[in-house]
Amino acid sequence: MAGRVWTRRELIRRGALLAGLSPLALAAACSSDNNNGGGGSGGNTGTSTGGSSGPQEELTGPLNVLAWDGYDNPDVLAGFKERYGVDINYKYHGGDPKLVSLLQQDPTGWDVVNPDNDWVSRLVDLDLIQSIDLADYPHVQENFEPFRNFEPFTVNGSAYAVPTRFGINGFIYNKDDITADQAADAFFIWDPSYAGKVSMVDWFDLYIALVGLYMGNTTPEAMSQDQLDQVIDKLIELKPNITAIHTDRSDIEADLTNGESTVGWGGGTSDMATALKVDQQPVEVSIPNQGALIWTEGLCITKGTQHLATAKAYLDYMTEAQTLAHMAWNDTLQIQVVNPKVEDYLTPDQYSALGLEEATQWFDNPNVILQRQAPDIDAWGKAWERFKSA
Amino acid sequence: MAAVMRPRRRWGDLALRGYAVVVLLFLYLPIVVIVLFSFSSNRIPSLPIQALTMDWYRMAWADSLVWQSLRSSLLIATGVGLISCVVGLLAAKELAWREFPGKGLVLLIVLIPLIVPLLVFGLASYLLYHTIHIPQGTLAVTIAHSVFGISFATLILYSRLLDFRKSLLEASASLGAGPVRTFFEVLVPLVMPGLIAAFLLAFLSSFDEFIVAFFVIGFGRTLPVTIWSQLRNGISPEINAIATQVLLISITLGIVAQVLIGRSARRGRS
Amino acid sequence: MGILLVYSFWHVTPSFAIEHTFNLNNYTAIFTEPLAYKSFLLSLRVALFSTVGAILIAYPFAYFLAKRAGRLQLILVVAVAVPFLTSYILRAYAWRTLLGENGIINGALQAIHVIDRPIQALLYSPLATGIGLLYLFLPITILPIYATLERIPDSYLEASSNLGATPARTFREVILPLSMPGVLVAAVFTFVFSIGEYIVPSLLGGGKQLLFSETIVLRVNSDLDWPGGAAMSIVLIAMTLALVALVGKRARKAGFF
Repeated sequence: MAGRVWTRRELIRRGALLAGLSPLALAAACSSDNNNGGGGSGGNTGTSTGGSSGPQEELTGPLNVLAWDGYDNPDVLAGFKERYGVDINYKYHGGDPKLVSLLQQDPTGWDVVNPDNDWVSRLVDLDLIQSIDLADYPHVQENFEPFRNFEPFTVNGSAYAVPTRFGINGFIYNKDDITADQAADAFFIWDPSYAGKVSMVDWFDLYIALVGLYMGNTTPEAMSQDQLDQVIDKLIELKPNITAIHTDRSDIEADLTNGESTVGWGGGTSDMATALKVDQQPVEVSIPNQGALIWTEGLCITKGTQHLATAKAYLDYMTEAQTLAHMAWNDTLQIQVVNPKVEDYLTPDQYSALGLEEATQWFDNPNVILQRQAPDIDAWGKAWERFKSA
Repeated sequence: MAAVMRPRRRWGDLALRGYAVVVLLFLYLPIVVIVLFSFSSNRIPSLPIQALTMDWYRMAWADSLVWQSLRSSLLIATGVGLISCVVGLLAAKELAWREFPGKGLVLLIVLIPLIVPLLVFGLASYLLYHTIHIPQGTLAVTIAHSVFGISFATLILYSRLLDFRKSLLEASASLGAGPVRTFFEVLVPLVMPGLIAAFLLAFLSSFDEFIVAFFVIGFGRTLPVTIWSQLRNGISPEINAIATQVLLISITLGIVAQVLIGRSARRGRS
Repeated sequence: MGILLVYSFWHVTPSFAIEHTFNLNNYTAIFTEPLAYKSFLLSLRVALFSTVGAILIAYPFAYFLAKRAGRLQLILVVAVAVPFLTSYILRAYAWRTLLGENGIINGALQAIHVIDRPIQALLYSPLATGIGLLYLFLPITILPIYATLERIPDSYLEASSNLGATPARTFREVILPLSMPGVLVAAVFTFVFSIGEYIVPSLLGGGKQLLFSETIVLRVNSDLDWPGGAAMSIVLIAMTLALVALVGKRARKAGFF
């Protein structure tokens, strides 16, 4: 009996030893495999990496950037490092409201932020970003016409952001199941035959504005409480048809690919469509007769930045056609950008797949809202909650 | 009597064994899915699978970001496991053996970190570390994870120590061993299973934890954070490949452990 | 010991408005706003489902592990823990492929003609969340029950059968009561985690019916209402603590602690 107990103890001891050592062994293996991937773990280094390639100016860094996905594109980051010798620390913010809260928590820890449309003016109200002089960024003049002095990014006569990417929010539908004619009327998704087939994301300012637009309010942000209530009631009507209200738009893509849904609504329709088409899914974009919304992203410099010169260099770098070409088309993301000169850096196929030419037609469509203004965020937030709790 | 017992026992045994297999299958079902789709050429996991490919594995091997985050995760998790075991054992000892007022309350307090929704914990930790100037990064994540690692360890070891026979410790002391020696040569080996369980639990919960790590790691990455951001970009198959490899490694380790233990058991018996 | 206490108070959640004035509005709002209390009730139901389900599934398995597995014990314990080394985010994602309309489960059920058309409500519903949570916490449920069962000396069982008890009676009057501490620990853990879990509901739940954890996130993220979210979190913590205290008290009365 004593012998058996002893071997059991041995057993457990050996097991413990192995359990304890194996992760360390793995960690060691990983570090020897790791070909100097840079200082990924750990906090801010705080020192500027001079670089032997002879930077043009003495810029401080690293630059802390809070942005949407895609801004951590390796080519983009490497290009900046090579030219200016400064590292970029990128963090994905997960949405405009999250961006605001992250920035509020740490106003000096971020140098450049990447909000959408009307959130720029919100950031200005909260005194979190500083005004910029568009003259510092000559490449902005290469942009499509509306993006040269983009109104929503201008507050009280001063510019606060440079635009980088944009897209349209309408419907993306499975063309094997739905015809273009059917999809031309925005209210088609309310049809009972689409029960559980419409996929969307949790993006209240988008959908409230869209439904407001569909119902005839040409300036959705100015809707009265009554009109807002009507919009929410309409949205509640839609609930049986909604597959799910996702957190990420990649879920909409997954739904469409899997057949969980046949329509994707909003969420960055145009770039989702490009991605899915590249993946050879039978989808099409529909801009309904009632109109659509264009989203535009911009880059702003925070008020509390410690590296102003670098931030400015970054904004200039990001508005260049060459950089934007990387942003527009890479392995992970294909998205529209505001500077048509990216044509010089992309293959004809890529350029046409991006649909930048078609995009210019949107600007002329009277029902497509490009200049989005800020609505009453609190009222809209409350309204969205009513929708979600119904 | 034994003959009467056996047939009924065998039926029950078989059913139980079959049931265990079913449960294991259930546990591994999503794993099978993950492994399966790591070979699928579809960018988004979906049926039908169009073609099989090793491309994602190639991508994963080349992706240095992935290796970095794996390394961070392993280091953090090991640290968390060790800290949790040490502090947990000390705390559990006091709780199990010493009588003091408000013990129930203390137990509840120990439970708090486990109850708090991770998101809240993450946000609060972010705020806290910022206020008391702990820099974001792997250290911050280790601290944050240790908080609930310790809770886990304490609770596990507490229940283990409850019916631990203190007489053994007293015997050791009366035989002349000092408290430190008693601790290491009597107590620790006897609670080894509990320690292992505590270590495993703390390690695993830290390795896999996403929300708190996301908030507190600043610009670094842990594996779950990398997985999350890759998934959002829609290239999950690469992640499937990574996960499959991690799985293979851990299974191999498990088998190796079993072989070694089997060998030592055989040696012990002869 | 002191270290432990300090660590437990790591997080300080402010429940006053951003202008730093105390008020109880956030708390009353929790009970009056439909989103808040509806999601709370839903969270309770889903957590209950996953807890009870997990225990029912885990118990026989733990029993097998403790009493019948013999030499396989260590390897099976490791086998139970190994899935944890695969990211839970990925496993939750995998459940999507399993539960989806064109997913594996629906496909299988249709193939063997149990159903004619796919069950849409398998995914993106509270049911999906419940299944996901149950699955996620199954190992956590198995291990404590196993630990307690393992400690019941075989001699007790032999004694019981020698005294003439049937296996069923032995189970009811010897094994079950002795394993209760483990079951309680497992139940508490699973229930508490299920209530606070956010990622799984957001991946599998579909966002149409929110759980309490998701409501907190909504408050903090979309409405930027940190104090409101904090108040809700405190209510959540308080209720769970009360529950645990209650269970703990009864267990202690019955002589387990």
